[in-house]
Amino acid sequence: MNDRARDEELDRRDGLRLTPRVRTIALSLLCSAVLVALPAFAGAPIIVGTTDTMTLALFVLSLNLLVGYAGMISMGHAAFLATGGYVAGLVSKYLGVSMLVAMPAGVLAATLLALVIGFFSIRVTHAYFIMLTLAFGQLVYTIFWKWSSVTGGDDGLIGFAPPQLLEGNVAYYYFTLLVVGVCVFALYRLCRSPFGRMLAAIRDNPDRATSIGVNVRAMKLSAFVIAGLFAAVAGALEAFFHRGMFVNSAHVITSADALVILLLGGRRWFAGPIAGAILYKVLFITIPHFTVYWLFYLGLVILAVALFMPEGVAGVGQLLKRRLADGTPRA
Amino acid sequence: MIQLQIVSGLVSAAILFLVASGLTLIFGVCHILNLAHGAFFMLAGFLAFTIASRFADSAAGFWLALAFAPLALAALGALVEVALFRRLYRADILLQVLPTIAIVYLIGDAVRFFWGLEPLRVRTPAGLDAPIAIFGALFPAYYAVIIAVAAAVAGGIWWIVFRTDWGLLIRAIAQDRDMAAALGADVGRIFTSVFALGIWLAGVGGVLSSPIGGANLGTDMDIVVEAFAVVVVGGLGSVGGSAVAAILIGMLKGFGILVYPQFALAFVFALMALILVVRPTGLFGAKE
Repeated sequence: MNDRARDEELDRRDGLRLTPRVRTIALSLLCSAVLVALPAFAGAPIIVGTTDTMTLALFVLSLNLLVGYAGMISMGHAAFLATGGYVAGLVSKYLGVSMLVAMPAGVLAATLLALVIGFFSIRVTHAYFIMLTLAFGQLVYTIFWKWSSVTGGDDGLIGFAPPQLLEGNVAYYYFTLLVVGVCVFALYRLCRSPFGRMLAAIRDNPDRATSIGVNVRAMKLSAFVIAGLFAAVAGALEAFFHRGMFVNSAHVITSADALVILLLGGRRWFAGPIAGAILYKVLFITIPHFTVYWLFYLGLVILAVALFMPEGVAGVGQLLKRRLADGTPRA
Repeated sequence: MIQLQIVSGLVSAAILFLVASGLTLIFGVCHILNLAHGAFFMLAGFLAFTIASRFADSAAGFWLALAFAPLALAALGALVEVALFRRLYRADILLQVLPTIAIVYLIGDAVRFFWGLEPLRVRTPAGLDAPIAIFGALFPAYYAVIIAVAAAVAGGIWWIVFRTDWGLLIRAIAQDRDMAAALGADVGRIFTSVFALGIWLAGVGGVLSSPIGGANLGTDMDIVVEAFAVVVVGGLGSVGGSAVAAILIGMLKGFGILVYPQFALAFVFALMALILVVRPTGLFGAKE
């Protein structure tokens, strides 16, 4: 709330007369316009890369509902990404139904899984929550990996495809844009709703939240299930885009990478995960051009961010804005 | 048949204990959840390969590796603590966990750079590949060495923590960091030494397990996740709990393979989840 008042104050001083709300709408429209127009002037690699970036951004945004808003650091979020993708793929492959039926089935399965895992995990906090979600995540990973007669094991699950209409890269790009757009809007409204504010209250002081009548467990479980649901949407989109689901998608490294992206982008800002996903994809695509040891450089980037810019690129943006606005640096 | 499961269960318990006790010490004292613990373990395996292969034909190579590789890692651990984690003790938990992931990436690529992608075989120390009888079944004598070293280390840690001044300081700081500091304990130095000790333990585990599993990329995350299971079951911060839990989980793995070979690891995670639900602080953990 304070931030908003401050932003409005800054806007007045700048003479922009733009409220944050108008600015957000303008920025979203601009981004949407660029994304809608992109296939007109970009080649296939960019279309493919942007499709991947959008699903990645959705995955990290769903995680940020837990990490940034509710203060619950999950190391097992990949379980829902993978379940969404695998179940959608399995349903499509073995029941022969269309993608538009298989995807909701995958999302439903992952949501139920999130309900079960969440039921156990939210009982503990801090380091215990990290380890419990990590254990559940690796349990799910082990099942997808070892149950190879069903999931394909190391070779991955293949043998399903999007419907003919969406087979082309550009068509699937627009489909992804539509689905991710709707999900991002839903998540944005959710974070701005009383529900989102209650999560923040729990994050900042669980005891006080309890004492003012917030049902902490119910709120945390809801956040966990909703986060799982949106992660599953990302997983289902990814599965049909690549016409396969692979076991790495469930690995703890996938969960860890999502946290890294969150850190890069900035977790205290709704669009932080989007900025992080773009930055990560750009690093991911450029660094391998001059070295195969790209994880080494990613490691250095993580250390630099953790030590020197803990609020991510969003934090740097805020800092610059404030410096420009009133000439005084702020920590 | 049963003996085979018991002894192989004990061997994996020994390795798990070495890794998990370091993890739990570092968490109990420094409050850092060190996801990179397995990376140090993996690095120890590769160092063991290099040192042992320098002395290919003598038995001394492996023992030199066991003596020096963990020490080198302990020095590296101390360096990491001073240069990195010391700046993060007051940061929130995400900012403490992510740098440990960064170290996983850094060590992983360093190993790829210096040792390549292929798994490397570390030879069983000469004279110890002959089979001996344990409980009436035949095992490589080397298995007995692993169990003995782990037991000796467990005794050593107990002695350090409960019988030395250093241990007294470690326990005081684990209990109340600020009070210990106010009473004049050099918290920074203790943190560095505990970090070094914890990484040394991972190093011993890595060197000891290398003749069995070889030096492989990918063991870094596998071992740390299993060690988490041990730490959670035993109770975060409790070294004794880690010892009991390591035996429990080692046995569970050993016998789980009999029942359901593909999902032996799933039993471990299921046990961990069960413990966290019925007793969130683990078997021997203090209240959160």
